[in-house]
Amino acid sequence: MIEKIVKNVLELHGVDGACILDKKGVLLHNALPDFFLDDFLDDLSRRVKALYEAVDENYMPCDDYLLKFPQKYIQLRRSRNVYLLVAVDPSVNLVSLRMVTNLVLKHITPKVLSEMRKQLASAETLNAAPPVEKVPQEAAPPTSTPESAPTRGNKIARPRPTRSFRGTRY
Amino acid sequence: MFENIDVASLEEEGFIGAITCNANGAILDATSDDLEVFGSILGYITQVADMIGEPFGMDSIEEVHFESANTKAACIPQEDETIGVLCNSRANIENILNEIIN
Repeated sequence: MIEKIVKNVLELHGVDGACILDKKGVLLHNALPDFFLDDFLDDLSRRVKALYEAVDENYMPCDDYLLKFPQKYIQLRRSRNVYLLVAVDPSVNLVSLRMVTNLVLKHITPKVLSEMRKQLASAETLNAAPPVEKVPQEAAPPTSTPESAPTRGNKIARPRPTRSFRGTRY
Repeated sequence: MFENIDVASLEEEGFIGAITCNANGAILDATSDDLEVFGSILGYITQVADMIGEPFGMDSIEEVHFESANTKAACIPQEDETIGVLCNSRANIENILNEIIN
């Protein structure tokens, strides 16, 4: 059901993609374009949460943000249950975008949210590696150590380039 | 920076206030004295917004618009400072930004 509702957003001229995060920052639905690399989605959700929480705590609750980058706009919206992130082209009709995203937020009720979580859990189960068949000990080939097993979430640490924003390193 | 703007005329359009802060968060200019709290969040909003876009190849953020139940606001990073503009929820913030910045 949620696919159909999100499709209304994706069909709008100028919309590149969208995703839905729950209030804990867990990605429930991902229809973002390819340049939103999976490796950075954890950082994305953490930063979106941080933005909302910081402004809520230090200023006043703000549910809607529009981040205008030179290449793209990112619209962030919040309902009682979820965060909705939409990546759009600057040429998008923002009024239409607001209308269709209102629909998404309206339709994600706690019931829909729990269905989405169930779907996510079952998808993760399906994606998990199948159990290794037990073989007689004598014939067992050397198995890789748990540390070397490539699993989602165990990312290879790689140095991030030092960046600075107007003189402030981060 | 704001000495040339017609605050009374803008207020009729829903303008509440405008503030400029430097990179350290210090207030450089403001149209009223009660914008300190608003000004204090501008730097952080700019930094987080930049970090949201940076991993996906975006250049530095140009503007952040955000809305609460009763207000609309815009945060516009400049060379060494950040401009914040606060309006009521019915204001056309694009028009107000044009009048203030242009």
